[in-house]
Amino acid sequence: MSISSTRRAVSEGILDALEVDKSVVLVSSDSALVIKAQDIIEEYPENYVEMGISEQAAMAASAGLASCGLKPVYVSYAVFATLRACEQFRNAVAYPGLDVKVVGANGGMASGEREGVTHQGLEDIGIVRTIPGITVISPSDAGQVRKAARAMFDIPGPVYLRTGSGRDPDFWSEDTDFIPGKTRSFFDSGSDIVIFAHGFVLSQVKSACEVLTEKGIGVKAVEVATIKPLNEKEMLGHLHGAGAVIVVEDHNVIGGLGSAVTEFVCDNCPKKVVRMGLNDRFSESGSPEELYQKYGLTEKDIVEKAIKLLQD
Amino acid sequence: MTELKEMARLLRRDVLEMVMDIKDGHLGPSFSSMEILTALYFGGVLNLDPDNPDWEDRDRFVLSKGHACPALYAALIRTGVIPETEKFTLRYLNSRLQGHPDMYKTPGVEATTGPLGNGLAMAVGMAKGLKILKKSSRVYALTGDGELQEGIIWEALTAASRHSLDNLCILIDHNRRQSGGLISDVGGSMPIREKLEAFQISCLECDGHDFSDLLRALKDAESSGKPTAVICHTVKGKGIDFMEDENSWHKRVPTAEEFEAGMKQLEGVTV
Ligand SMILES: [Mg+2]
Repeated sequence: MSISSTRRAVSEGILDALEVDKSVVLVSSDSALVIKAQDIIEEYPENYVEMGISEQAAMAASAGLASCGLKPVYVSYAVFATLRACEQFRNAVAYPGLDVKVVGANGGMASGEREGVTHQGLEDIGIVRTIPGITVISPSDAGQVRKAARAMFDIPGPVYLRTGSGRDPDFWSEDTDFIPGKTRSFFDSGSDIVIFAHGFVLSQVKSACEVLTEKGIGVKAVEVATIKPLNEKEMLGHLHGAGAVIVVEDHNVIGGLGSAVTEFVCDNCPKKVVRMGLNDRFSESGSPEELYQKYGLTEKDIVEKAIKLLQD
Repeated sequence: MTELKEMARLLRRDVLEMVMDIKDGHLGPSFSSMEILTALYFGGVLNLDPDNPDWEDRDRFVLSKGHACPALYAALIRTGVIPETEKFTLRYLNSRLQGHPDMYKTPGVEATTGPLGNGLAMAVGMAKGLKILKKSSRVYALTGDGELQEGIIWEALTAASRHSLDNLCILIDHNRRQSGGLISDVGGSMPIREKLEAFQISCLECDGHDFSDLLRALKDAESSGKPTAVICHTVKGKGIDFMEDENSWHKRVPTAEEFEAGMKQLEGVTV
């Protein structure tokens, strides 16, 4: 499996945006190098605002920049952008509906990998999802992140974009487009089970689908990269006729896509939903593979969960 | 100066009436900022167009101590940016005059503030943004003195200094008190000037209730060549004797008798 950097991809997406829109401004809390933004700093020094190590002030200053008509993108770690600067994200950015884009790196335990829990964004989606007015996007590989980072500037108002460690598995072919709000099926052998997923778990979901299909279980897998707002029409389509639902994500099982899908299914077409993710506990340091193994997000875990679900 | 004193008197009456009407709101903090706001809006400091509150070359005023918004609303009503008819909608349902300033709802309000410290950091973003846009507009942020206990204040000041934001003027309403009492008792000792100067902020001081002193400091701040703080020495509750330096008026609603007594003190007498 090839590996690319979703963090660097953010810089590339911002550069793509800067080519056509000089009002884009990169806001850093000593985090520009997190996305390897050296060329943005060199080519567009006027469009780079270094705030120093100060997530809260960087978030609030982004609001100030946006109020002047600029298009700030504040880059930080998922855990600090959504937890340390959470109040500023809510009150200074989301409540006035300002055009601020926030990028959170190390989204998920695998993305935080050996850094350990303090630097792993395990609740970021749950937090931003409960704040009104924030579009929440979690693309699944570097090619998608680059396109999402470009596309988010066309979404009015605040956007939260989740990215990874910089050593992230490629999933989609390079020419795959990214359209905010769209879901995308990446496996379809039947409707016994529909699996929704986002982020860097798509490859194990796909291989689990292959195993399940061999066992005679019809399964459909769908990427939901725009977690908020959910594309309700497409979700209804995917859920139509499905026997049961599994959600797989590298996030706490509380608050993330699993919760979003559960809420949606309860409201619209009640059926059994199983949420797979970090089971309301903290993870630890380790390689992505080791972490997924220990905390139950491997191909094998998904297969077992699906079989058990159909037996119940 | 007589006109400014008269304006401050009228604004204090407005604030007292508005708070009395809804029986909610912060009188003490509004009154200690009254001359500062009057100087900014009516003393020729802020370059604004009341007919076009979103004029892109305007100066910006951020009320970082957002709880003093009755004073800001009163000023915006008297400049004509907010219609007089909305005066008695403070804190009402469906009102544009929210309990804390809302830039989205209220014309003339530049930043959504109230969570202490955030306004100054937003003002830093604005000052930097205006420089990026090559505007000569200035940004004024009014903070409380207790508010300086917030960590984000010092993050913002570090960035203001790093970016040489000479278009930023930080006004500090130094009434020596915060919600829970004297700053020295609640937050601990606060050598404001020494701390600001250590953060490379140029410092000026003035009597925050004396217009000639205030306007002199605001003028000097324009030419300091650095981000500048004006430490305005004020009295919490200023203008009504039984509210002055009496911390219970941080957020207390007058009785009918207190309201009458307060209005009487603000009757034609300049403070
Ligand atoms: Mg005070």
